[in-house]
Amino acid sequence: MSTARSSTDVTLSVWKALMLREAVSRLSGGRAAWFWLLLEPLVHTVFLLFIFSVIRMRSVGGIDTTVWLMVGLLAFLMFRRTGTQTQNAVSSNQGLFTYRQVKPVDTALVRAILEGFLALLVSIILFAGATMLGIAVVPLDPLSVLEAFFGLWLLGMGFGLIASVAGELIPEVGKIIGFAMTPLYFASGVLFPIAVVPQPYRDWLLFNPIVHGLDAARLGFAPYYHAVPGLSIAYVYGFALVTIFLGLALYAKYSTRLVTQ
Amino acid sequence: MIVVEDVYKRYQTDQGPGKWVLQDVSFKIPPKISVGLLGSNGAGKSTLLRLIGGIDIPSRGRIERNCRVSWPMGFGGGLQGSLTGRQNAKFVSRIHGHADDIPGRLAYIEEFAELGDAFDAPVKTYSSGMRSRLQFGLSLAFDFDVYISDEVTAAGDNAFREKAATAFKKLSDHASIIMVSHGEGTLRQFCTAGIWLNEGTAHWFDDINDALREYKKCQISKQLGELMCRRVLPENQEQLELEIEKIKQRQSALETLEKGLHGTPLMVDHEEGLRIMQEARQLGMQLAVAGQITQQGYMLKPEARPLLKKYFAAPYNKHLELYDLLSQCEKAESTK
Repeated sequence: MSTARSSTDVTLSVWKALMLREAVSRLSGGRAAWFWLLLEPLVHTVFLLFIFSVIRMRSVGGIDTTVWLMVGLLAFLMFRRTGTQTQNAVSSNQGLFTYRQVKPVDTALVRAILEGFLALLVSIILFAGATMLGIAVVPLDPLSVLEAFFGLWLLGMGFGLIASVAGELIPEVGKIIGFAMTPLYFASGVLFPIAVVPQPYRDWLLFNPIVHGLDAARLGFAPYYHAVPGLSIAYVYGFALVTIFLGLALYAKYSTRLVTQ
Repeated sequence: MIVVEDVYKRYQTDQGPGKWVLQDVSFKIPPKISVGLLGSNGAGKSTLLRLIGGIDIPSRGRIERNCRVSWPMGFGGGLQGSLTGRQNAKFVSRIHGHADDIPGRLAYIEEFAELGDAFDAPVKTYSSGMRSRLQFGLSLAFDFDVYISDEVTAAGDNAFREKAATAFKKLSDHASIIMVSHGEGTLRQFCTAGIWLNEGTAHWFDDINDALREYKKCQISKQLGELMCRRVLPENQEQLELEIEKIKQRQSALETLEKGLHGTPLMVDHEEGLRIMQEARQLGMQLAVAGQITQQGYMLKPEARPLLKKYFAAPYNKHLELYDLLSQCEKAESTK
């Protein structure tokens, strides 16, 4: 008989299996699932662009409205999609915990990784598409754009980890998080530049790490962009690491409560 | 070797901690001994299987698994509805560390489960029989020392059950099974020892037949007890008498049935026989019947028929003869 596998081996093979499985169900569940992945941000951008052109705003903070909107929206989606997918990982994979190799935290982490990858892919495709249409969305400082997107992905993961455990333990929390998403969307500077918000409210909004992430991403596209004063990418990372740590701690404490009904 | 030591289990409900499902359960399952779990609905059979399978942890006490134990196969767990049978099989191969060997395992599972084209259809379109066949095939594709089955082996038609039994017999020189099943025949076929769960405690029996008998006795006495202290009686004198008569009849039927457990064939008249049959059916007991009743279309469970032929050659026409199948088979085997 073969010898027992080490825990690392087991976890790695579980991650690999989960990743393939999640990818298959995300990309082939229903008709043209990949198409809907692209369509949501596309429709969203086009609609916002339409509104901005009606009120004749050609530029925001010194850069083209289209670029400002697209970058902000896609960066925000990086956070939101990662967050919500991670949040639902445990409940939609309940059936898998029949295999004792699969732990709740595995499904959450794998979903976060997959969703981050997909969101990045979607962003690249849409930026490339916009460039082909003649809209100049080419980052002048690609590394800081990646840095900002990565930070937002980490934030999404941390948020999702905490939200999934909290939602399973106290179902009401899940509902509150659900309707807190829309205010968060407005308070993150997707629709209007936070830089124009008067003090002291701006400082309050700056507690929201997503604001920093979004403006950092825009700054990466155009270094001459008038980003919000007090922008700090370190704050994004610090916040993300704290939430991820908290989320993992919650999983470590409550993993058995998540598995049993 | 699986050691269960002082295990207590209760679930958390919305109203605080629920009542104890298992209380002070201790036993040891030696290697290569197959065990059947008995108990009425809600006695904690599935809970115990989940605990042994390691997908839940006891509230108190500990469980030691010094061998490779399969996941508990049963009711839909472990299969994702939106994925096909093949994709599910691949997933299970991967998490068990057989990523390099997927085609071979897939071929085995495909062949064993006999799903045909449905193997490439989403699992949510499967019937429950197909699901069980897939689950059974899945677990047999991997080498475990102990297989845990929650009512899976009872699924499917006779041909599949035969196949499952032979496949399992082949494994039985190095593996064993822990199973829950409501089919007496299935339990006798697969298991040597038995655990009877009653009111939260577990009773170990070295012989599955003893466990079955104890379980049935308890079932009957529970029924009798229920009969005694039951519902509102009708006020109308005539109806009351009818009702009392009915209860008396049921009681005598149950009592006769209990006697039958000790191995004597029951000689009863036709009407009484019908009542006993009915009670037995409600209790999920298997009776062998010789006499008119078979000709009148009271069909026996299919697995009882060959046994009946084997042991009771001459039909007895005047009365009905009811046998507790279990004790009769035992007797026949011991005289052989």
